[in-house]
Parts: sequence; C-alpha cells; structure tokens
Amino acid sequence: MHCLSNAFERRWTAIILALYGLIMLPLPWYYNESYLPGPLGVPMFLWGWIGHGFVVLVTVVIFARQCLARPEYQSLDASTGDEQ
Amino acid sequence: MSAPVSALIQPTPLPFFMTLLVYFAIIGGIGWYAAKSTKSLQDFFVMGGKAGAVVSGIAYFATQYSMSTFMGVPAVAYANGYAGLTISVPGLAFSMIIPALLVGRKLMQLSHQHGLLTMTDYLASRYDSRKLGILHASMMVVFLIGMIGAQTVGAGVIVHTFTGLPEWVGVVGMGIMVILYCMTGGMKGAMLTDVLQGGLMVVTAVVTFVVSVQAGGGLENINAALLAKGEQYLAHPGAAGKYPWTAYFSMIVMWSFFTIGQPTLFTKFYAMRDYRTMYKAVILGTLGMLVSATLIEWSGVMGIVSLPGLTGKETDFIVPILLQQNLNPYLAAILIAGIVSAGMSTIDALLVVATGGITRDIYQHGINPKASDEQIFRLSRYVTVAIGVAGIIVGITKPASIFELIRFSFGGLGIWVAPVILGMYWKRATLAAAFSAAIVGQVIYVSLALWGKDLTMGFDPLIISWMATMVLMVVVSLATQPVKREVLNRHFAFA
Repeated sequence: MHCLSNAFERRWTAIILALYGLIMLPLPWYYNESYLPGPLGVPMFLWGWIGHGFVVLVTVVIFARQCLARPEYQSLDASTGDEQ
Repeated sequence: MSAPVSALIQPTPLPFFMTLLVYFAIIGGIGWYAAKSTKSLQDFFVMGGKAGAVVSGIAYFATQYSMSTFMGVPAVAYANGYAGLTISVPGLAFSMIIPALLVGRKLMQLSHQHGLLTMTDYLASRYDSRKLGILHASMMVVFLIGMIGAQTVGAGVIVHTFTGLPEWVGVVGMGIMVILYCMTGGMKGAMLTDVLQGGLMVVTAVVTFVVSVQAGGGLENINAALLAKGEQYLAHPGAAGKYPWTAYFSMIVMWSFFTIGQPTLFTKFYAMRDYRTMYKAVILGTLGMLVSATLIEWSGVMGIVSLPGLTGKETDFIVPILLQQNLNPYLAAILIAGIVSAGMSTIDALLVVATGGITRDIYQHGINPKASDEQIFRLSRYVTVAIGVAGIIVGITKPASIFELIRFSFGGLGIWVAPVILGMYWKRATLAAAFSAAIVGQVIYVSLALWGKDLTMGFDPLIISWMATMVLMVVVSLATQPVKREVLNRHFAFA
C-alpha cells in the first residue's frame, strides 16, 4: 500500500502534508525577521516550532492507531485494501 | 589551535579515558554478542528483518542524529543565534513520518516479498538493471565516506578538548572502534548498540540544556543578553544572515523529504518486522528527536552568552566546552560518551550500508556474479575496514566544518529521491530516465554546492538539483521505453 491507495490513505496523506506545508509558511510564529518575544523571552518562532511538532506527533499517533485497526495493516502479506 | 579555544579547554585526560574505556567495553560486548548470532548475509545487512519497535525507533533516530546534531548544529546556532535552530527544529516532527508515509510501507512489503536488502536492490529491481544498481552503489559510497568523515571530525574535537591530544588521535580512535564492532556484528551489532547510544544521547541533550541555561544565568537573562548584543540573535535570518526564508524552507524539506534518498533509511525500513513495529518506531523516534535535537541545539544559543568569542571551525567546540566547564569531569565524560555515541551510531549504519554497496552491489552483482553469500560475508569485513579508513582520512584532513560536510554528503545522496519517488508512484518512469536523472542531477548538485551557491536564489543546491532531475526524468521517461511489464507488475502489485 502507499499514500494514495484508497480514500483512507489519501485523507491522512492530505492531513499530514497540510501540517507539513503549514510550517513552511513565513507566519510570524514560525518565521520572523523581527524579535517577537514569547514566554521567558524566547523568540515566538521557537515555541511555534515546538508546539507544531507536538501537534504532528499527536496526529501521527491517531493515524497509526487507525491504520493498525484496519485489516490490511495486520500482515505484510495481507490484502492492501487498494481501490482498483 | 588558535585562541580562544586553547585558552578555554581544560584537559582532564584520566576521567575521560577511564569513562570511555568502560563505555567502549560495553559497546564491544554488544558487538561480540551480535556477532555470535549473525549467521547470514541477511542478518548482517538488515538484522534478518526482525527488528522490534524499540530497537527500530531508537536506531532510527540514533542514526539520523549524529555529530552534526550534537556538535555541528549547536555550532551553527552559536554563530547565528536562534535562527540557527532553523536547520532542524521546525522539520523534526516530519523527519520520520514523511518517509514512512511516502515510501516506508511499500519498501517493507517489497523487502518482505522479494528479499530486497538495500536501496540499491530497490533501484536495480524497479528499473530492472544491475548497471543502475552499480551506479547508485558507486555514488553512494563516495558520499557515505564524506558522512563518516564528518562524524570522526567530532571525535577529534572531543579528544582535543578533554585530553589536549591532537584531534587526529580522536579521529583514528573512534574510527577503529566502530570498524571493529561493525565488521563483527553487522546491522545487528549496529542496531543493538544504537539502543544504548540513543538512550545516552537523550540524557546528554537534556543535561547539556540544563547546564547551558544555568551557565547563562537562566533563560530570561540569556535572552536579554542576546537582545543587548543585537536583535539579529533572536530573529531571522540570524546574526550571520544565513537563514532567510528560502533557507528555512530548504532545511525543513531537506531533513524530512530528502531523507528518502538516504540508503540507511531503506535499511531501517527493511529491518522492521511489521507495520506495528514501523508506527511504534516512528512515534518513539520522533519523540526522541523532538526532545534531544531541540535541547542540544538550543544549548548552542545559550553558549553565545556564557562562552563568547569562538569563531569559524572553533564553534564546533561549543558543546564539549560547555560540559567541561560546568560539570564534574567524570559526569562530563559520561555525557561526552553520549555525543560520541551520536557519531558512532551514525557511522556504524553508514559503514554497514556502504559495505553492502561494494560487496553485494558492485562486486557480487557486477564483477563476480558467481560469488557465494559466504564469500561476500567474508569480503564484507575487509571492505568495512577499507571504508572506515577512508572515512578516517577525511576526518584527519577536515575539509570543512562538521555541518557543512554532512550537508554536502546528504545532498549528494538526496539526488536519488527522483528515481525512487517516480519509480514508486509512476509506472512510466524508465531506466534511461533514472540514469540521466542520477548523472545529470549529481553534476548539477556538485557544481552548485561547490561553485554556484549564488545561483540557487537562497535555496539549498539540493532543492534546485532535485527539481531539475524530476523534470528530466519525466521528459526522458515519456521519450523512452518503459521497463518490462512483469517487473512493473511485481512492483505495483501493492498499489
């Protein structure tokens, strides 16, 4: 199977790639050419990266749990659940 | 060595050597245990495809995060301020899930059903050409040696800091140690030692962060001092002006998407035994990377306040000196073992993969097809030594800083992303296209990286080169014969 195999894979691929694309944008909490102080004087973009990182991690946990509940993830030899 | 490094370091050779002796004895013991249970070529290269989640997850991040993470990037952060963290922190969370999502699952299926052991195997199988495999293996070995060299550079810096001995002593010492346990244990030795090394790396990152905050008088004080020094230390593009948005974008994409071109990644996926293992490894590895890389690299920023004055290649010394100046010598040496671990765990994986490239892909599949697995297994041990020695030579000559060496070599391997991705998702991708993309892409990449950085509009040369290879592959594929139907059926049976 791969990231475009079926509707389930495509939906999750879109979610993860959206998070991936989001952090590349020059939004002030990700990229900033002026000093925007956050807690403890740390630049806001660092807190933004850390927060985004943990959101991605939680998303991956949910994705993994849903994948592993599906029959095609029970074995490397199992049917792939692909749409023909 | 020029001031101020020579003025800052305070050699403590006895605690340093005693601690490392114990550490290396443990590592050597693991290598010996792995050697006892390494009986076949598949065991040697992919641990028999039986790696569990903890081993896979920790091994993945231990391999991915290296001397560059623990010394090279903190050095860049030291020179640039917070913008230097752009190199890896924003993209950390994606560094495992993007490869897993795009190629990981299919690689596991292919390995399981067709017995693929290396990235070269995949390319040769997908494009039905051993010659392409040989081309890949040849290019791969060159860049892997560069990466191995970068790791040994870090060992040289550490040994000089803690003992006062010349840097080459550390380079040679580390090289010999890794060669020894790799040539005995193969991938099993490499992955089992990765578990110990990965754990120590996390501890080292956390303690170094705490120590660096204390040394600077607390986070608020440090940030106030940085602001007094100049706003550029707290904003993009950084004090040295090296991290504008184009570099920010490049770094996120490089250490996640372009990881797909790294042969060590393929081996890690091939070694995983099932999907459950893969997802657990992704989650565990991502968490480990988020914590350890963020904290250790952040420490480099703190060092600007507590240890000012390092310039150029001297900035590579920032983390070892931070530890040395603020901790008991024995504790500092244990944590330094964590940094040495980062380098060793990367070198071992690189050595195993590079060895496979020469022995299986070039020798067995190209020069002597009649060679038995047993002969290849024996030859592997000598080749491991030869590649290790080449890496040591790069480390001694130290042609660039740790991070620059890694970045250049990583890019050279990243060129293969186009043949991999298109080969996996587009049946029409042809052998002629893969050949032309690899050769032309490599020429463009090396030319831009060495002489044409001004032509890349601020993006990393790899991004520009990769875009060129994608266009080239599509155009050449449409103009040439696709690979045989039965080969495509084998590769697209899952898709």
